[in-house]
Amino acid sequence: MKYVFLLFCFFTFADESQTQVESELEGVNFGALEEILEKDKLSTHVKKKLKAVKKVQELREKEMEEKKYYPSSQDFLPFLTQMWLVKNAAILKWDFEKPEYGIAQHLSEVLRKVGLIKRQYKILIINTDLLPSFALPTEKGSGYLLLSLPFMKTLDLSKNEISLLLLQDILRMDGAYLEKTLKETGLFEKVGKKMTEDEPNVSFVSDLLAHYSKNVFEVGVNFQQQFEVTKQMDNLLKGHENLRKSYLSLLNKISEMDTQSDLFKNYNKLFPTAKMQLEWLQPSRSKSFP
Amino acid sequence: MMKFIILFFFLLSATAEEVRYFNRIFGHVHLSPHATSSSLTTISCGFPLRIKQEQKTKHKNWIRVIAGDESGYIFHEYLSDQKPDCFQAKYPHFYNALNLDLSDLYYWGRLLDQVITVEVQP
Repeated sequence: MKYVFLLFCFFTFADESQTQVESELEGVNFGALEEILEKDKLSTHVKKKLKAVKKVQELREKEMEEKKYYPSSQDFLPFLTQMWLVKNAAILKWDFEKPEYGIAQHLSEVLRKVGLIKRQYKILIINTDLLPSFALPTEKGSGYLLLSLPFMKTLDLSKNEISLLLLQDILRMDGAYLEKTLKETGLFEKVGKKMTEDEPNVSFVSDLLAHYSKNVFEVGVNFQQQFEVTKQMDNLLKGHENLRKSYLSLLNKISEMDTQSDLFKNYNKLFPTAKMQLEWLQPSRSKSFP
Repeated sequence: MMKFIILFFFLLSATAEEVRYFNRIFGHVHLSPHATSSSLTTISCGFPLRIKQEQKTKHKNWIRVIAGDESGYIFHEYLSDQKPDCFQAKYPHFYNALNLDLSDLYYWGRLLDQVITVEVQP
């Protein structure tokens, strides 16, 4: 039943493409009726109606022509990210029933404490060990924060630790590492441009989705990027001793997991080791990237 | 006489309906007023939903709506008084060329249900 209704939903777009006058006049052969119309002095009325319909059609064609654009950069990235999440729903396993963990409220408090305000994020809990966590870009100051339920459980993370894990992802997203990599593919060339072809060529979207997957599941973050993020974390947590302790505890837990468990073996493929981050956080190593 | 006038206005307000528009790319009308309840139907951006006045405040943050033949619930933030500026309507040629299938539309709606929003206001 729901799909029937959905189809109805599609057809409402089609219905909007004709005015009532157009529908009335469709299929009427005015040529054959010419004599009768002349006799009844209705021909002027018909001419007026036909003129009005022509004008509406011209306006509509103009309007459709104006819409022959690929989405703007501002509209495209949020759409692409959502599309990637939708196409990877089965892999990421985000569509499952879960309790309210109270993470949103806690993360909001932590972000306010460290001065990251006027932001809006969407946390999406994933039921897989493919990724520990990852931030996906949308508009400025917002994005999707993926968080693995098995990762939270395996490491027995506290709300502070979870919030700091997500904060680290937010900083990576602020650094636009994923966004830049996607743009460097050259596949954003059409974004915001007028369509030159009769039929839009959207193959670049599939290619971008493939790059998106490669970056999230295989490439991750390099040493330089991780170093920058770790230093930013260090700066943000200055004056918040409790949060700093939790951050060190989080990195220690991840570091232990690296050596003791086979779970999340992807972690070190995606991110430089937590042990290295702990070293970078030592006061003597804080100046520049080694 | 006064009683009749009051009764008339009460009945009028009880049967009055308003139309609001769905303002996300895709979403679901739910059987019960919570995100994990079953989907009655998948709707796309700009879809008009009828709301009975007297049912507007019954469930916290969820509004009972009528979508075609189905009557269910939708989260209040996903409704607008005015027809929204939808991605599908803004870029119809691009959107149609993507050829999204029904399963994509279903999961797109589910994505909206599964996310937990974090807002950090000053």
